[in-house]
Amino acid sequence: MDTKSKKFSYSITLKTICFLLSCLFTFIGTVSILSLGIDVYEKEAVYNDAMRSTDSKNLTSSYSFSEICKNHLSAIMLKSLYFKDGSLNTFKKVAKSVIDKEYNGTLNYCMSTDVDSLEDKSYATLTYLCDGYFEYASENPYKNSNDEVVKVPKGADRIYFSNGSIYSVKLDKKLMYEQVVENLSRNFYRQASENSKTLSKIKNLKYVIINNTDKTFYTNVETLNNKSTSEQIAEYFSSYGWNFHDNSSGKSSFGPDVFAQSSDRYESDYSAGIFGYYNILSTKVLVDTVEGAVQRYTADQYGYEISSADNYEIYAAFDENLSAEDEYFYIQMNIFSASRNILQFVVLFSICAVLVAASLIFLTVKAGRKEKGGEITLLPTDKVFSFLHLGFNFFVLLISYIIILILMKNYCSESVHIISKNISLAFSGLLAVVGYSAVVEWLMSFSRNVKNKSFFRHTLIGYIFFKKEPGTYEHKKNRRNLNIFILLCVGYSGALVFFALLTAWREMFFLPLIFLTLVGAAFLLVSAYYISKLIDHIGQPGEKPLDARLYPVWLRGFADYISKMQKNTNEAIESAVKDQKMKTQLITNVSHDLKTPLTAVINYADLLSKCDIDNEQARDYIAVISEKCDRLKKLIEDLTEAAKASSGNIRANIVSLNLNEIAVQVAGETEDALKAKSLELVLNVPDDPVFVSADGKLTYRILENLMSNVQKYAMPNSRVYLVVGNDKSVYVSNVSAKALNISPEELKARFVRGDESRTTEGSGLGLAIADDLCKIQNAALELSIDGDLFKATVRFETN
Amino acid sequence: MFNVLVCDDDIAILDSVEIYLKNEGYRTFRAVNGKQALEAVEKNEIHCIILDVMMPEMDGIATVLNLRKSSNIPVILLSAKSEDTDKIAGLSFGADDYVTKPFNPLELMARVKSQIRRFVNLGGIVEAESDKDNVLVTGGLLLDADANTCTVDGENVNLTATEFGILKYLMENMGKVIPADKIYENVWNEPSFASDKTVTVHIRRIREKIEINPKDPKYLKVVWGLGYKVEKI
Repeated sequence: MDTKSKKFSYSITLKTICFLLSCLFTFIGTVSILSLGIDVYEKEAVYNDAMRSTDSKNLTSSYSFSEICKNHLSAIMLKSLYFKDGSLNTFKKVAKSVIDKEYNGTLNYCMSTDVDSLEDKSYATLTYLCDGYFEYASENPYKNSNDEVVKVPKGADRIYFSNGSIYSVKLDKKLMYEQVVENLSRNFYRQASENSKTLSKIKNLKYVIINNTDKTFYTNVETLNNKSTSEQIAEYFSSYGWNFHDNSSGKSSFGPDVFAQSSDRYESDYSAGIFGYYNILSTKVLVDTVEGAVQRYTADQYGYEISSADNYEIYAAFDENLSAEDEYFYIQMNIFSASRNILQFVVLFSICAVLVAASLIFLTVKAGRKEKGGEITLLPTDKVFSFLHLGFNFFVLLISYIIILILMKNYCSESVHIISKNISLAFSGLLAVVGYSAVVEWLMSFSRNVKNKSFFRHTLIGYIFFKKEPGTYEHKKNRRNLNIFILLCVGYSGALVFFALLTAWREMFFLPLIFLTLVGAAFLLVSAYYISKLIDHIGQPGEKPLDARLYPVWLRGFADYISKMQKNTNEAIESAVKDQKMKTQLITNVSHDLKTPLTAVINYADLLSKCDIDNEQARDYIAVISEKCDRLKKLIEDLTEAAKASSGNIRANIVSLNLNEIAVQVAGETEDALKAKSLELVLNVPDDPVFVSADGKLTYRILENLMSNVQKYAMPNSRVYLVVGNDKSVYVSNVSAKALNISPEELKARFVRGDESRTTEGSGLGLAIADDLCKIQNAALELSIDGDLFKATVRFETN
Repeated sequence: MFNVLVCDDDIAILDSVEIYLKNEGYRTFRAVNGKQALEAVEKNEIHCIILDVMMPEMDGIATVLNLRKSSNIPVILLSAKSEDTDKIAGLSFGADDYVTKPFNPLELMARVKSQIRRFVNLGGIVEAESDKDNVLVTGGLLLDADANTCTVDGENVNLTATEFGILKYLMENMGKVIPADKIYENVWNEPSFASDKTVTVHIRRIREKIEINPKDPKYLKVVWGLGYKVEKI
């Protein structure tokens, strides 16, 4: 069980499962981290949108935020001070009172009288009246020729000046007054309503404004009202993290120092990234003296001081907890949810990363082995040059990464998305799996190579210098030298091309080019000289032995090879000759040792047969012994002959022979024997003698063997043909008595007979001997079988 | 009664050869090596020696060499060595015949008979008759053209007229190789056909009559691919 589980931990199944699971984890991890990124990006966009809608000004600086607060507060004060019910009529009244107050009696007068009824039609008054409403071009009052000011006619809408300038004036005093009030009140109203709107967006800004003059009470705190005591109010506000109180005496109750410090902190915290947004809201933003701000605000806006500014009391605080649901609350909610997602995603991602790393380690450790300490199985890819392998896998990884980046960038920064968010994520996840697979593949291959101690060998340098060559140490060394030589040749060619290109660019580089060419030519010449020497050595062996040391370095190994090969060949020939002699000797001795006892046996069998034996059976037995003795004798003779013929120990005495003559002789010698077997010999020779270079005796033996085969195997009562051809060939053909289920080549082999039963008298050596004897005298024995027709052709002078 | 010395280290062969010789009516002496053979030759009157080549102490060749210093007794070498070179060596060292083991006992007896005949009785006759005209002689083969007789080692051989003519023609051109068609033309006085095997058949028959072993002829030899000749001995 234990060993089984150990083996299982190396099994391909487990590895595959592990790999697939880690791919899945890679997918999940990638998708989770990317979707987190997209989520954060989207939240940020929402936040930015919120900030933009809060105010036209950029909210990302502390100054602008405090500005907003100040504006808001001053708007509240404006409202609280002047517009109790917020209707347009109230604004008009206030505007009227403001105008009245500003221009005192002058305006009142102006308001109540027509120009016509003016007692004092002074220039100053006119100027005042016209100011802001009329163009007043003339610097000097108009006087007539009598040096008196021209009277403005009653009801006239034009003022004629004596100097000839005529200004058209619509002097509707009531209208004028109404217009002033109208404009002013509209400005007030617009400002106030805008501020109110903004104010509703920042509900977490708590305030209490008390107009001490008319005891009006403004607040957005529900628990407080105009009956609350100042202690209650102060207590409420001091419960907030930051607050502000100012009363009409100008004494700050809660101290602005705190705000100042907070503001500074905000500035530095902002850089903390997305979590910093929370700080914008929780920071105790400085609102510097709200009183001053209000005063400046109104003065800037309307050009006059609010004289009753000393009649109010202000409490302000910002709720850090954002308990009210305003703009900032929602922003914070978003960020909270984002941070909650961040945690989820980060945890998921971490788990995936750990699992993937674990599978990587597992796969790397178990790679290549099928069991603990087992054989390393290298895959074909492991034998690829390591740098090519690494390069390819790295390329795949890089491409996957780049495509993911492009997808994400497109999603975040372009308004038009190539594909939807989910498909983008899924596709990125798949790409990450592809990249991960490349990493796993390389790591496993690396691991296998390292375990197999073949990593170095599969590097380029390792391949060139340490390639595993079959063969001897010597061979490997030579092979390595050859590799170095090839490298040098490549380098030389590179240098030639380089300098050729340089020469094309600047002529001065022709010198090194020529130098290089000469070096190469010299090298070639030297090589050619020594190679021709080597060839001489190969072509004339037996000359003085080849001395490899005399050859240049790059040919030494080669020369060494050849010298060794020659030595080996000579040794082989010597030993072959020696073996041949020993073989012949052996055959002679063996046949001698066989023949001597056989002689005795034959003699006694013969003697026995001549004995006067009455027993019929005994005579039969003796006959069998005699017959088998003759057979044995013939076999031994054939065997000796065959051994001699095949060992080439017979020397042919080649003379010019007449094939016709020998055919006639053979026919004469064998005719009677054939007749005894009821075979008719048909001799067919050309009219002109056919001369061949051959050994007569050997040729006769060949033909004799063929004829003796015929005697043994030919169909009785058939014809046997002995034919001499003009093409220096002679053939014997006959019809076989038994079917020949054997190929001609097999027939030539020793101890093979046409009949499988081997009951006939032949030794199975006849054709083998004939074939060998043919070879000795440069002839060839060709056998052909066509059904029962057997034909043996001896072809002379085949080369 | 002729005395034949048989010398062989193989007692079984020695015994069997002795039996054959006794059956033929010879008196036999035996030796198991060359030295004993030489001693036997010194002590007894020996008419023929059958000598094994490979023997301990003194082999057949050495024995023949020693024997030939003092005697011309016919020697038949008996050997398992069947190489041509062995035969040539044996004959050139002084032996009169060479028989390879395993031998045909009858052939051996014929050879013994032939040797003894030539040695004891007929040597003189052949030499005497060879001086006559129209008598052709080589070794033990004698052809008397006038008497139309042919004898081998003194024994008469019955040849047909054609056979006689062929043998006569060959013996007239003793030592020369004569092609079959030329023999035909000369004996038959007709032009021959290329594929006519009449001559060769006749010659085989002549060989069977005059040779002890027709497959290993002594007198009428086949020169393969060229023709026939009668060896001059």
